[in-house]
Amino acid sequence: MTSALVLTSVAVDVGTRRKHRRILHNIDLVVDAGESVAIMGASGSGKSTLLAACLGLIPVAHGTVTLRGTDLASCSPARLSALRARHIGMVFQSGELLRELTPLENVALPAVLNGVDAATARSRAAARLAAVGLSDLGSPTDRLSGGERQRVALARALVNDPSLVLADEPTGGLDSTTRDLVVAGLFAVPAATSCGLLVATHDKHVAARADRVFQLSDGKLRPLNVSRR
Amino acid sequence: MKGASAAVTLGLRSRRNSTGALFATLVEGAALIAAAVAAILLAGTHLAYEHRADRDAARLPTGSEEFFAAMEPALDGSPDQRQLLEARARLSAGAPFVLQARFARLSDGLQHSVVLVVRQQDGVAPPPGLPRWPLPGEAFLSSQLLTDGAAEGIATRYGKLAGTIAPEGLTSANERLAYVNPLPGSVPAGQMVPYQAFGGPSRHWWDDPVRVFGDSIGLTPAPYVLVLFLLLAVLPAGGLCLAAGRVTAPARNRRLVTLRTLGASPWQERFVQFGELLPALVVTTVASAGLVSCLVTTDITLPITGYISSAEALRARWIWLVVAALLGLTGGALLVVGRRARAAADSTRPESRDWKWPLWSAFLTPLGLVAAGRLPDLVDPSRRTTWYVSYLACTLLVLLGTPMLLSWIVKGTAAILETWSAPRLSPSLLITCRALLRNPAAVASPAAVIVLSAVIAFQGQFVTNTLGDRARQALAVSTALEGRVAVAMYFDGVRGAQEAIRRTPKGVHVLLVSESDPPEVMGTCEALASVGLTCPPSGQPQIAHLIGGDLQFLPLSIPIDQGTVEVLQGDPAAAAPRFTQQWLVFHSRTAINTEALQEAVVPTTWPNDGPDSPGYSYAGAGFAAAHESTWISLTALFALALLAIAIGCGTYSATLGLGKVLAPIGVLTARPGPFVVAAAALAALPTALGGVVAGLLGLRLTQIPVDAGIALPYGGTLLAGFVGVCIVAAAIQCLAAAFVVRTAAWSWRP
Ligand SMILES: Nc1ncnc2c1ncn2[C@@H]1O[C@H](COP(=O)(O)OP(=O)(O)O)[C@@H](O)[C@H]1O
Ligand SMILES: [Mg+2]
Repeated sequence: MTSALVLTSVAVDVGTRRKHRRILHNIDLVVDAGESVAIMGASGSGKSTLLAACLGLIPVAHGTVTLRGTDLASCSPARLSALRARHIGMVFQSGELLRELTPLENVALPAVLNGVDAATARSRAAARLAAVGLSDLGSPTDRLSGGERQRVALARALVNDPSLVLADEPTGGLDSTTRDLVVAGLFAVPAATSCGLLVATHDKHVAARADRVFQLSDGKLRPLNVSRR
Repeated sequence: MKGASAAVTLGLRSRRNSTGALFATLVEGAALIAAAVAAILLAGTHLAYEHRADRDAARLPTGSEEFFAAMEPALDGSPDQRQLLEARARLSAGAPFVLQARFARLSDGLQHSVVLVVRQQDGVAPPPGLPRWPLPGEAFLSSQLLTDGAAEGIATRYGKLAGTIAPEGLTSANERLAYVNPLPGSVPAGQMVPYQAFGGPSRHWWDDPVRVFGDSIGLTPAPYVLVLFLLLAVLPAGGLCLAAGRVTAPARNRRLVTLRTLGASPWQERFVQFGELLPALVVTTVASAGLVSCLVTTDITLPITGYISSAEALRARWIWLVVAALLGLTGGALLVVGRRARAAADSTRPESRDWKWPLWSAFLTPLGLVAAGRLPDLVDPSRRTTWYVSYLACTLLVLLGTPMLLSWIVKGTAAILETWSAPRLSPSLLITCRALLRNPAAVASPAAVIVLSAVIAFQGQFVTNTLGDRARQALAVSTALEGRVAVAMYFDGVRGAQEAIRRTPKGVHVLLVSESDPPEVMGTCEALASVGLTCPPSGQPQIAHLIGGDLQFLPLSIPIDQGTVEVLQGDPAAAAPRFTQQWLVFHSRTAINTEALQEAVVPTTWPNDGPDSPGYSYAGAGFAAAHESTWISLTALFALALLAIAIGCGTYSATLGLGKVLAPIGVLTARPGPFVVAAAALAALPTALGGVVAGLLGLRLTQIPVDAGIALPYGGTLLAGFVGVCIVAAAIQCLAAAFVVRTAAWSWRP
């Protein structure tokens, strides 16, 4: 079985070419299918930068990022886009939903853009929404609560059956009850769809739900022995 | 003020280091510079006219009390003509100089003043701007007249060219003026008026500057230009400031609301807003200072109009230009900021306000159009006033309804497209339609501004052009008449008219024409027959249709093209009391000796002009109107250019926000195409919609007077140019929005 995501001694520099700073050093990380991994770290420790490297949005200074066996460095921009569209689902801190579209349409959008016909996309979206507990959502997108928004975002991330779901501080602005609701939905994903899940968070309650947890500090990734089993 | 400088700095800081902030500054800068330039234009025009009036007063010839006392009886309408002429001749002989001003015309209709002067005593200062008195047969011309009349030999028309008139003797660099000392005997005696000196207070209403020199004929009158600038420069500039405030509001509101929750006082909020506006204010103040110093140091020839802005005229009162610029900037800034503060206060409310408009409001414009279209059938075009008032009412209805109609068009189209695209989940259409439905005013209001300014500008252009057309018609008529006709106006001058008829030389027929509706023509059978009218039995009126021929000589203030006249047979001298406002029409089978006719009749028309070729003065006014239309073109272009800039910038800054929202989904789904399309459509829609609707309305509205036979078909260069500009602008907006969304996607990071 191939791993959803493999990072081998990855280093990332930020800044200009002449004046740059290495913020990630020698990162090794494997996310297998059906497995959840959490990366903990203080704000500014480089979690978002690491996710951007996983998406192939920023080049790595050293090492390789491999998505389902494909080295991202060897991909053309078009191939990279196609890989992201087909295999990665992403959940942002604030949802990033389009308020012009209804929640259902927001969820269906990536499927439609991937060439799925409207009816199929719609029924798939409805199923994904039901899966996150939002089967009869009537409100317009800009009236959703924070928790509903994140769950819609999760449903959207899953609509194309990705092999890897990335979440960047998915519970950033939520209270503890709502957080638990979102986290429950999020961590149910690997088991249900056998895709890999990589969550960046600074919240140890979130991290506690993951199969494996890493600590990111000083640009280095260290495993943490917080096991829920 | 506590924390004032900190607040200003905070506002200033918010305008650094972001593309959105840069464009907000651009939008505000465009609006503020528009306000400043509009204010400077307004003040500059006023100052130029003030200067003109001063100059005119300074060269005004002053007459003797004796002369005016002798002329006084002419004012009560029943002067003893013989006494009057004798007094004039007697007083002329002893005066330092005699003068007569008359209008003349270049072949293309441009009027100029010709001032005949004859010095009769030594030691009298020559007219201002002249180095010496012209010798008999010599002429001094203004350089504008020399330029305009170069092709038709104006330099030698009035005698030997002795030199040009210096600027001190002209009210403006554009004045067409000639001082001529006629050869002895070439001007009928008794027509020259005796004067003492140049310069001095005017004592009587009839020697106001315009009467003496007729300077205003070739120059657009001050109120006209001021109203024009108000309508087409100051108003759009104000609207632009309001719009700029609205465009930049959302980003500011968030900051202001945050500040408010942090306990910022209203004054501190104001200071933050001032800080935000500071970059735009600094740039526009520097630009306005540059414009003012340019205006007071160099003579600038304005494009299209050919008007020369005189540095000298403006320098004398430069402080008022500065005041105007400051007022423009302050007013503009208040409009920008005031709008923002109010928006900040209710930023929690949804944006779209025009949802409240009732459905019937969408039918105002079509109603106005239909009514205007029926006008040619409903209102008799020969009743000009009624016609114009009805037409104006319809046009107003059309324009008033435009914002509502546009809003309904936007909403309706968006709703239809939405129901079509929702089941198909077409992302670009769905996003565009939903954005339109959420805030139709974002598209409808800038589009309405475009339509209003374009249609007003075009209508103005059209109407003045129509006046110009009639001037050209008048010119054509008077050319076709080969001098066989002359007309003179008598205003309540019954005895004057009777006297004129008595004095008319043999071989010239006289007809009396009333300025009523329909006009009445009265004359002897012989006179009526000479112009092709059948002679009705005495006392019995007969309706005749005016159809071409010599009948067109009727004064042009009377509708000549399709009107009817009542023809009466009788002795005009006896009938004179019938009418309060009347024209005497002199008609002959051969060319009338106008000089002789003038000599005989002028004293009876005084203080009106003597008998002259029909349409002569009308043509002058008409050509002035045609010239005025170039001012409309200039100000319209100015207003439209600013609108285009502002709308472009506004859309650009609006798309910046859209780009930010669309970037993540665009990147992650690998298909930014639909989002680029949606952003481009939203950006270009106001301009495209405004341009198309303005073009359609403008064309339709001008077609109606053409159909009614009131106006000649008009090419519509301005409108075509405007629509073209709109299309180009919309294309640029499309590209800009697409570029913004694409770059936002490229640079996006989680
Ligand atoms: N393009 C960039 N240029 C310079 N510094 C950057 C850039 N991107 C991120 N950084 C820096 O890298 C560090 C990590 O940022 P980020 O990955 O966003 O942290 P986190 O998501 O863990 O809060 C921060 O100190 C940030 O300032
Ligand atoms: Mg982060």
